[in-house]
Amino acid sequence: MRIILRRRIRPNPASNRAEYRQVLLRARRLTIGRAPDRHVQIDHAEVSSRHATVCSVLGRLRVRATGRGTVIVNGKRRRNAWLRTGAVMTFGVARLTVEQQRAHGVIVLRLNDPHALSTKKIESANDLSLKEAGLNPRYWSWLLVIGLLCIGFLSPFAGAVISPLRAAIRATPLVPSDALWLPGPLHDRHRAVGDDCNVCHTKPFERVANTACVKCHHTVQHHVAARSPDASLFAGSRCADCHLEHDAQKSLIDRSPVGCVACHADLKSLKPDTRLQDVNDFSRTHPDFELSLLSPVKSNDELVWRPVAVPAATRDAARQESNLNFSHKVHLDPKGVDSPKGRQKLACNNCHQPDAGGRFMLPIRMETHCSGCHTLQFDEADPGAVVPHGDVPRMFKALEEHFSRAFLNPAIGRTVPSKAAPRLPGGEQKILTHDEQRRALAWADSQSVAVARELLEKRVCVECHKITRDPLRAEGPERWRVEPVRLTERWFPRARFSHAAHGTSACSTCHQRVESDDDSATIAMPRVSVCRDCHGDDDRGKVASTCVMCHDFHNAGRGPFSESRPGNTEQARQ
Amino acid sequence: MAIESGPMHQSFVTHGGYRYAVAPLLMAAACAAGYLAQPSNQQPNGGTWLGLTLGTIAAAMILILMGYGIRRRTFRASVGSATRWLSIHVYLGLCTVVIASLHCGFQFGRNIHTLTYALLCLVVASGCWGVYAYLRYPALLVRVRGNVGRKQLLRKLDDLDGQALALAGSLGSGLRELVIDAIRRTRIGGGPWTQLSARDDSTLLLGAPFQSGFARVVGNAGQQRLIEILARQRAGGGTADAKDTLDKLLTVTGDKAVVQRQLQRDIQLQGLMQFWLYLHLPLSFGLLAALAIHVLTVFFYR
Repeated sequence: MRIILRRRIRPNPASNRAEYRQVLLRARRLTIGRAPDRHVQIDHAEVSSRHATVCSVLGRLRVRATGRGTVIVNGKRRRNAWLRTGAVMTFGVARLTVEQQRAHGVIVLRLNDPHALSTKKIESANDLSLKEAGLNPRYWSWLLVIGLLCIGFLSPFAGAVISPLRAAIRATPLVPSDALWLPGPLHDRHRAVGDDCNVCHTKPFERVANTACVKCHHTVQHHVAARSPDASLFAGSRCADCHLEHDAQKSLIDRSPVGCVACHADLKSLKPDTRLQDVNDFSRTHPDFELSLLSPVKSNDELVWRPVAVPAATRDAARQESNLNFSHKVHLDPKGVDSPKGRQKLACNNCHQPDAGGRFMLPIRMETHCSGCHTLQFDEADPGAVVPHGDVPRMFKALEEHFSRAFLNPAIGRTVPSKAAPRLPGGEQKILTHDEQRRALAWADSQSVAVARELLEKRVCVECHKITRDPLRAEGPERWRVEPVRLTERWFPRARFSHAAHGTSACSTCHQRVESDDDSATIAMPRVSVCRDCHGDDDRGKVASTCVMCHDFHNAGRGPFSESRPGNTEQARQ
Repeated sequence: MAIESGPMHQSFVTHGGYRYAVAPLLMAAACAAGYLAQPSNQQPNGGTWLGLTLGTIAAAMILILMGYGIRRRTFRASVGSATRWLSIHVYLGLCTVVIASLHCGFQFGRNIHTLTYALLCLVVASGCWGVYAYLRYPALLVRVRGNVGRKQLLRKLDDLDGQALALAGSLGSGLRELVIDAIRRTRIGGGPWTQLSARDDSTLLLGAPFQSGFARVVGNAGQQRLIEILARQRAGGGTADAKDTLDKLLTVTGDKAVVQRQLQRDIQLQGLMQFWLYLHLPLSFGLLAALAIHVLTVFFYR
């Protein structure tokens, strides 16, 4: 669009006639306003910075208000208007007239602005402060407050309290929901709960009840017997006291000792008949570890071996009656022990090997750990012959079979006494007579009993086992009894311990003086003072160790938490 | 004007020999000590008893800090000097960030709670900018405009425009209209960004005979374009009178450019001294709203 703009200018003092000065503009649209970058600049209070534009639409002229104001076209206020030749647009006191619309899109406009004849007062025409430029802190404050209330509160609140809206608000992207209120993500283990806050938060402004937890965790065990009166001590306790959700931490469990110590610092005041000692912390007040020793207990006139707690006072005198003779001193001799392959140096882990979880030691087995050196040979002439382990009748049977065969086959090498030797005039093909058979059997039996006695009472079995003999019985499998081995497997059943986690320490760090221990009854389990060398509470340079590092709260076999009285009480309260 | 520059504006920081910094700093230190004394195996969190205590303190401090706005509007000399109140406001505000950080246990997420914390940080940051503005800009203002006020500068600009018009009257109509147009299109200040960046938006509608082809609106920052054209005219010859007039016009236009620049810098510095408040106030009210939502929602889903 080409525009010839004729501007009335300050008249020459010599002439009285109005003088116009024209400029030729080329622009897609003619801009009008107060701003200095407008083609037509008009200083007037009613004219905004970017007030209007004039452009050609399909050969016709059109004026359009670009700001909030209007344009007065031929005396009428309009937002847009088509312009014909002779149309007069008024901006404040300035008038812009369409004089001609020539061919080839050339427009002639005449501007008559009385203010242009004088200079302006610069102070009034410009925005000299931020306030004048339209910045208004009050406006922005309201905008921010209302915006935050809508986004942060109204929309999520509507979803939280109006159940028909809940699903829609939560599911619609960009619509603020109560997810905005989430103080932290759900723990990984609770992801299955999903995004519905109300699964756990059943009532507004009320804390999550235990019933919400046991809906899923119905098998979780109680700390005390769930149906005992002790369970009432837990009335008012919440799962959430210890299990902290939305807490941005790796574990759901609050490991601080506060919750445990709240009762265990003075347990007698809550449960006068308790045999547990008070504990405040690990480094000072934790009592010495109470051994649990496999001991014979009379039950229904019968001796049953059960783990029995050894009071701390008698711990020093405690002995493990395992029916096994074993010397750590001999086996850990630095010079080595005799073995079929010569002297062999042994270490703890030759016999004590951790289970797959690394927590406990696997049981010691004769076949795996001992038989490499302790072979059960009984016949020097036949080194390959061994008696089976762990079964006296089977041992006798094996011996009888061996000597019967030896009788029949002297090539085995054993010297059969001539009196007992079979006479075989016809060679080996001859069938034994009845008498010969009886003599052979008698010989094999007497050999078996003699060797068995030797093994059981003098040489092999008795080396490790406690053997009892019943003199009233005839010499045979019933006469001897190998007392069963009673090795304690869980010395501290109420504590958790992982051998794997302590793999950097030598065994002797905790199981002290084992290498000088010649008596299998000596107990080499560590005391609390040994643990305190490395473990402490918040002590500097110690491993921070709280109750739950070693102890479980939910004790196996105590009954589900959901059946406990506190749970029921809480349910009743709701 | 000199009173704006030095001791008065610094005094709210050092007021009473940092007396008003002591109590908030001690409180922040006590809160930090409490935070550090927590068992190390416990995740610090706004929901623990310590977290709730710190949160309550921080919320109370925010309300007290917001009260400063009311206090400022209803000033009574008997309640204490404005400087003292400002000093307390500044130090209390700084400590609130410390206490709020300890309250949240440095746990952040995409939620209303972190938004509240972020708003608090922004409010305090804008406040810090305000402190900087009050310490730095008054001295700069004096350096920019000397001991001359803005009104005097504007009057001087009007005078120079008047002189330019008087001189242009004796020139040809083309030059005369150009000078008038330059005066009309001289821009001081403008929109917020123009004010804060001290940009000169002055323009000139340049047509024949000073420009070949179509007329265009061209930039005239610092009156440079006008000076160029006048200088070209001066070099182009003419009578001695005309040259003399053009010389004077050039001098006047140069002086105007200097005054214009002083005014722009003045507007910029004054704007910067106020602009922080245009952030500080809305953010403060936004913080208040977010704080209310935060408190309500943490108890809604307990």
